[in-house]
Amino acid sequence: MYLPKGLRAILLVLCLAASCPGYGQGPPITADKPIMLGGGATIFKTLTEVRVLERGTAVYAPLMAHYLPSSNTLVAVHLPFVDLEGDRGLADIKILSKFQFYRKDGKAKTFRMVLKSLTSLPTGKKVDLLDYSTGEWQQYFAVVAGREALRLGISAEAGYSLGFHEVPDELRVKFGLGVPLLKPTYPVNQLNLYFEWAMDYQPQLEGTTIKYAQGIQYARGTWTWETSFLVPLVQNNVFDRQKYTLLFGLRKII
Amino acid sequence: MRYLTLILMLIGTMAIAQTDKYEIQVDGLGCPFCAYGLEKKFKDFKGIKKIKIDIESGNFSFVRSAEKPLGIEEIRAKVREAGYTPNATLITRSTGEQIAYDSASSDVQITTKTTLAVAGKCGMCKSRIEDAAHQIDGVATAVWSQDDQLLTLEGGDDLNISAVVEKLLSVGHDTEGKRAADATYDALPPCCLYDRAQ
Repeated sequence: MYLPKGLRAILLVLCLAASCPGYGQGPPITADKPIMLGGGATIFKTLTEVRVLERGTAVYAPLMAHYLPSSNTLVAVHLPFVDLEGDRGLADIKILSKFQFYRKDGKAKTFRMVLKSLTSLPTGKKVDLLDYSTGEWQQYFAVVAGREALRLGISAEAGYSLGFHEVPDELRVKFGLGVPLLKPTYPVNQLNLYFEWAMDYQPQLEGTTIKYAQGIQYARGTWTWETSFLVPLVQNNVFDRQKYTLLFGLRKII
Repeated sequence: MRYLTLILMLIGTMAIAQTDKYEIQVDGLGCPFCAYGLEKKFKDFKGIKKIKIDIESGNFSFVRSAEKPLGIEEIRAKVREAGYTPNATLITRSTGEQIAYDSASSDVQITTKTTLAVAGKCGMCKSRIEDAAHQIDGVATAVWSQDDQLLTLEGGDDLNISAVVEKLLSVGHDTEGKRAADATYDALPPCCLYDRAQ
């Protein structure tokens, strides 16, 4: 039976994930999560991206401060910096808010759903890096769902981004699997593998991108280190063709 | 040197004996980070020690000085604040007394809600009042307010108010105009000796 190359890669990774002896895991790297760490928690993190495009290399480095006023709400500010072939400066500042509207807990597992709003302020340099630095307003609404259990973490997100002026609208769908390699222990000492997919569709341009990211994450205590390698599987009618992206992240919970 | 060691051991044993032990089974701990969120929230209670969280079973336990007792409702509310679901709960006081909240109680259909005027003075009173109320069958939640001097009870159809009143009187708290026995009142710790109505 013939299967397209991208689909074969996805099936292979799914099979590998299913065969791994999994235990508890941490937060996804490129996808989002519906789990919140209790009211009053503050999380500082960064996820620096080195995006290698056909037109050059872009580096996007956000400093992110997340605060949870209660066990089911989150507000955050992302202060990003961007560099595109030496053209560097502040990127679009983002205001994130999340509200967890559904929670179903079981022994050593939980399923949760959140509503998410992400507002991009027009503060960035106009270097036409969609979602990162356009110098235009963007408003994104999404629903994030996730099931976290000791053997496997699954997260999914679907949302729509409204672009203003020349920024196109975008339908975004993300899906991630987290497979832990170490037995769950507390205090935290975790090594996790992540298999993440993202699909973007721009209706005005009829452009489609499907990306796959392979990540690894190590967490000890309140610190988390992570890295991921993202490759585009499909790029049809897209304005900015990517070759690949490297991501490096660091998180600290306070 | 041997005597010094013995004295230190005795002091240590006395210190251990003066702690209350809290055990609660928590649902929703899907990962080690969840356990961190739970522990962090409980650190709002100053002075908790010997924290143990077993992620696979959801068993969470800690000890705290008997001079700063916590009530069943307080610790269950704290689990909810952390974003998880509390189940069976057991408090073992330094005196050996045990207060249990069976997970089956959480399935009680709340059909009755009422308030009782209960006299008290401090956090220790709050803990004693709420613990006493929880020992009565049919009580799903019991929360006492020091400011209002009111105990709010929630429970099912079988919630027996007069049994709750009798229990509160038996632990030394005047309730609904009824006076606890003077000997029971006098035996309360000094910080709990509230002003009694004549």
